[in-house]
Amino acid sequence: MSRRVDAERCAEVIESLDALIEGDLDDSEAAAMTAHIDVCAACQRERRLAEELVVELRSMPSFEIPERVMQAVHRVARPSVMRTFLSFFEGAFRRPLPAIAAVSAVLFLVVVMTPWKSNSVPEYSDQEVLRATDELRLAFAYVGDITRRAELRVKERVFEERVAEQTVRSIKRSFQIIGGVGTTATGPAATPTPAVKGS
Amino acid sequence: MRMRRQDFEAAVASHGRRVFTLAVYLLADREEAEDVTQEVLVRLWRRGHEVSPGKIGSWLVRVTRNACIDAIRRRQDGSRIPIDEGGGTELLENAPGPDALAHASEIGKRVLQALETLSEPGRSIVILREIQGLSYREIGDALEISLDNVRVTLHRGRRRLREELREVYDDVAAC
Repeated sequence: MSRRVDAERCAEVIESLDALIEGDLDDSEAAAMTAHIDVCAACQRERRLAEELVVELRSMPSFEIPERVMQAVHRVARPSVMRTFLSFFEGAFRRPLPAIAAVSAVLFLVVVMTPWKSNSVPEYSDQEVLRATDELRLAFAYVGDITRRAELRVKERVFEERVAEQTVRSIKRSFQIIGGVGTTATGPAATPTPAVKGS
Repeated sequence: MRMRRQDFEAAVASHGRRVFTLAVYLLADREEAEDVTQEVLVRLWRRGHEVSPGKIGSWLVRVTRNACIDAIRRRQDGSRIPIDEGGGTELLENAPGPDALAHASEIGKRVLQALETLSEPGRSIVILREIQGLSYREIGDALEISLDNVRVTLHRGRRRLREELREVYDDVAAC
């Protein structure tokens, strides 16, 4: 009878060993299990095995991605020149004037800086092509920056002309109207002052 | 439409190691794991913008695991590479740092062999929990299963590993 009870208890303990190791049991359950394990050689062995296995697994190494894999990924995962180009023109439709100015500037630079040689067909190395691509990207970024600044200036001017100045005019007109109704004087100084209580 | 470059780099910095390590342990083959990692990261670049930023980690684990399962299915004989024939041992010896040497032990190899005996999703769950230290919730989110399912499968996996490794530990204890 006692042996059968012990075997059942051992089975329960083994079933809950992971929870004990993980700290998932409440204090009373953990204490009851520990009390049994302390007097049961089989369960002590089982707990040691479970703990050693967890320690072994948790000390297995993890691995850094090899450089060649990252290089291969970066060859694919880079914004293409075409995309940068298209995104620029996508913006250009929203703000045509600054964009036309910027494109004209780039075209002018290209024309001025292109060495005109009639009969030669230039051959470029991969490195030169890469460098040129980077420079083109930089140029587009620069043009984008100029466009953004131009757009801001336009916005400021429009704001100044259409909003700020009109608001100031409107306020002035309001004061003139108020002044005209109360007294013959004009401007904020003519605004009637409220009567002070008790005076 | 692609993921923003800085978001992509941040995701790789945060989760790249986990992706490669999971692939290495699931496939027990470094070269195949490199191919899978490359495939997963390219997919991240192309599709990452569709995933909400807080779920990139679990998305990557799910995609990596699925890619590994596909890679195993693509193998000519459909089998896993036996550890004794270079897979696990080589994988441990190639690991960087002094830890790798410590792990090129008999027990380390046998643990890898025992991992090979686990079926899915038990094997992924044991790797994610014990080797990579993910919480139950993170594992559940990644594999799209309930917390109870994670707990039960992990428990079965550990018991299975204990059964596989009982002799090894008994031999060590006897020494």
